[in-house]
Amino acid sequence: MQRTLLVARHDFLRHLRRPSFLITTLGMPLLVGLIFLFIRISMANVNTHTNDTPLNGVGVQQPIGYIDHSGLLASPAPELAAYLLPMADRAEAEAALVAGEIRGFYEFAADYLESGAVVWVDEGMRGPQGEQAIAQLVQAALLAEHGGLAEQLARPPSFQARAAPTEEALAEQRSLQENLLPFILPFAFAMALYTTIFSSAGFLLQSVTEEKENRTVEIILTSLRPWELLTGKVMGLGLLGLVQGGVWLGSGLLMVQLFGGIELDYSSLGLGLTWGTLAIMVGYYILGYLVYGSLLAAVGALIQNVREGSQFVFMLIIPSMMPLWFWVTLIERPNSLLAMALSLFPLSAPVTMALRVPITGVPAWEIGLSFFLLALTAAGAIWLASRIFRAGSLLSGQNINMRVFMRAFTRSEQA
Amino acid sequence: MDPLIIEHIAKNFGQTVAVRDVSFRVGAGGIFALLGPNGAGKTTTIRMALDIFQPDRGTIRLFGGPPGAQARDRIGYLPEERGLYRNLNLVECLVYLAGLKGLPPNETRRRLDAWLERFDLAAHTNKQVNDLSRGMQQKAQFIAALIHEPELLIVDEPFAALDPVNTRLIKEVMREWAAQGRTVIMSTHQMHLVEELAERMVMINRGEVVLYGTVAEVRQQFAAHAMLIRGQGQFGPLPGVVAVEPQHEPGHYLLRLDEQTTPQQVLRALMDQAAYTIEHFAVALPSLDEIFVRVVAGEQGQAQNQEEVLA
Repeated sequence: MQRTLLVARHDFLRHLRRPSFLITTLGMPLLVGLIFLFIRISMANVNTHTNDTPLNGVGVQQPIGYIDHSGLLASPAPELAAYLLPMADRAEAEAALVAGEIRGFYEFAADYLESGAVVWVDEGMRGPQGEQAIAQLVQAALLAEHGGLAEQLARPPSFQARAAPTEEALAEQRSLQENLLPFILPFAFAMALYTTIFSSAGFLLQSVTEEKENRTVEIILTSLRPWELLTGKVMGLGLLGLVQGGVWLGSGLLMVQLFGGIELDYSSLGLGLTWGTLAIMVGYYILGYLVYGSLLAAVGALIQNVREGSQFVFMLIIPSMMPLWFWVTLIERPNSLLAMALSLFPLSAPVTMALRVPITGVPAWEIGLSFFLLALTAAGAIWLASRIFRAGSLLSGQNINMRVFMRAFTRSEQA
Repeated sequence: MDPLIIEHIAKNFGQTVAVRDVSFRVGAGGIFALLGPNGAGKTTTIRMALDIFQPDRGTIRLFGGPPGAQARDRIGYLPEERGLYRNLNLVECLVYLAGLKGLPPNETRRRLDAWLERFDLAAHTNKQVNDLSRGMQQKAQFIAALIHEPELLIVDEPFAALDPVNTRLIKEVMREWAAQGRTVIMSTHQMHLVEELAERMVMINRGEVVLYGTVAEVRQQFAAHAMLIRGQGQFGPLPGVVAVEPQHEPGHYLLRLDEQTTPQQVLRALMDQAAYTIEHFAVALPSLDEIFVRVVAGEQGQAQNQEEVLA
C-alpha cells in the first residue's frame, strides 16, 4: 500500500507541475475573469454613452438646456435641477452652448401641445441627449394634476418574485441578469464536471502511455504488481482532478460575485447550490472518473502512444457528451423523461445530474438509483481495466482494435 | 543458498512459444552470463525471474522461495530498453525509483552523492533526464538498478551505448559487486566481455538451453582438433595435421587436425623428432564468439533442413 501511495503522490505532483495542467487550471479562470471584466467595462461604457441621465448613478453629467415657448413646462424636479437648465430664449441657449456650459438644448415650440414639435440643438452630430430626463419633465407637466402618477412613471420598474407558479411565469418576472444565471450556472457546473472527469482520465491515459513510451514501466513492474500501479495512478490523478475542479468552481463562484455585481442568493435564483449538492457532485465526479479513468487506463495499457488510441477514446467519451447536446432542454425541463433517462444511464449520469441537481428537486430515489447504477458500472470498468492492465499489455505496443482488446481481456496472465 | 533456480520453465504468448524449456541455477556471488541470439527467450526468462510474468509451466525459486513481494527489493534490474522519466530532474527520478524499492528519500540522496560522483554525473544533478546524453542516461539507470544494494543484480546489455571509459567503469562496479558476495546476471551479445567477466554461463536458443556450465568448460567442450604452436619446423607433413595457419606473430601457428587425431598425439610426434623446436604448446580453445556462431548457425541449419524435409 505504501508503494501504491508513492505512485499516487508521484503522479499527482508530476502532473500538477506540468505547464499544460497549470495553464489549463489557472488559465481558464483567468480567461473567464478577463471576459467578465471586458463585458463589465463594455457595459459601463455603453451606459455612459447611451443612457446619460443623472438617474442611472453613473455620475454627474454635463447639463442640457431647454427653451419652453409653450409655457407648459414647470421647473424640473429637485434631482433633475442641476441637469436640466431652463433657458429664456434661443440666444441665451446658444451662448451657453458656445460657452460649453451645456451639451445641447431642446426647444419646445409654442404649439407643442398640438404639434408635439421639439427641436434638439447641439454643436456636434451626437443626436438628442438626456431624453429620459426631458421626458420626465414633460410627463410631470402633462400629469400636473396627477402628481402621484408622474412620480410612479418616473420610478424604474421593480419586480419582486415571491412565488413561481410556473417556470415560464417566473422567467418573465425576472431581470435579464437573473434570467441568464439559472441557465449559465448549471451549464458551467456540468461543463466543469465534464472537463474535470476527462482531464483526469486523460492524464491517466497520458501517464500510462508515457511510462510505456519511456520504458520506465518495466522497471516499475519489478517493484509493483500492475494493479497496484493502476490503483496508485487512479488515486493520484483523481485527486488532481478534484484540485482542478475545486479551483474552477471556487474561482467561478468568486467571479460571478465580483463581476456579476450581485450578491448571489442561489435559492432565490432557483438554484439549490448547497453543500449537499456539492457533495453529490463530488460523488458523481469520483464515480464518473472511476468509470472513464479505468476505461482510458485500459486503452493506455494496450496502445503505444496517445495518438493511436484517439479514435477508441473518442468512442468511449461520446455517451458522456449527450447531456451537453441537450443542455438547454435539460435545464428548461429538468424533470422530463429525457432528463431522467440520461440521469440513469451510467455513462451520461454525472454530467446530466450536474445540470439537474442545482436547478430542480431531483427525487432522492432517482439520485440513489443513478448512483447505484453508476457505482456498478465503475466496478465493472475497474474489473475490465484490471484484466487488461497487465504486464503483457504494458510491455508491448500495438495498434488497438477490438481483437487486440478481446485478446488482452481474455489473457490468463496475472494482474 | 542459490539466489535463482529455474527448472523447466515455459512461456507462450498466444501461438508464439517464447520459452520452451529452460533450466539453470545461478549460484551466490560472481557474474553469471545469459547468452543467446535475438528472440531466443532471454528477456522473457528474465521477466519471469523478476516475477513480471508467470511461467506457464515449471518453477522458479528466488532466494529459496517463490518469486513475490518479499524478493522484489532484493533484486536490481537494468532492462535492455532503457527508461527514465524524461521530464523529471535526474535526482528526483532516481529518488522515486529507489522509493519503489523501499529506500527512504533521505537515504537515497545520501547514497546518490557517492554514486553520482563516481559515475561523473554529479555536475548534472539539476538537469532533466531529457537533457542528458544517452550514455549518461544509461549510467543513471545503472545507478537506479543498484542504489538499493540488491543481492541479485540483473543487467541486460549493460555496455550498449557506452564508450570504453564508461565500459571499464561498469565492469569495475560489476566485479566489485561480485567480490562483495552479491550475484550479477548479465545478458549480452559482447562475447569477449563474457569471457572476461563471467565465471558461469547459460546459452538459450529457440527457447531452450543449448550450453550451460562454466565459461572454461564450455570453451573446452568446443576445443577439439586444433592446437597453437610457437616454434620452428615443417608442421604440414605431421600425421593428422590437415592445415597449418600462420598467426599474426612470427613463429606462431594454428594446426588444424583431422577427426581422429588429438593435440596430445601431435605433441608426442613433435617431441620425438629433433627437426622440430617447440617453445610453446596449447590446445586451441575457440572464443565464445565462435561457439555462439557455431551453435546458433548449427541450430538454424538443422531447423532449415527439417523444414525442407517436411516440405
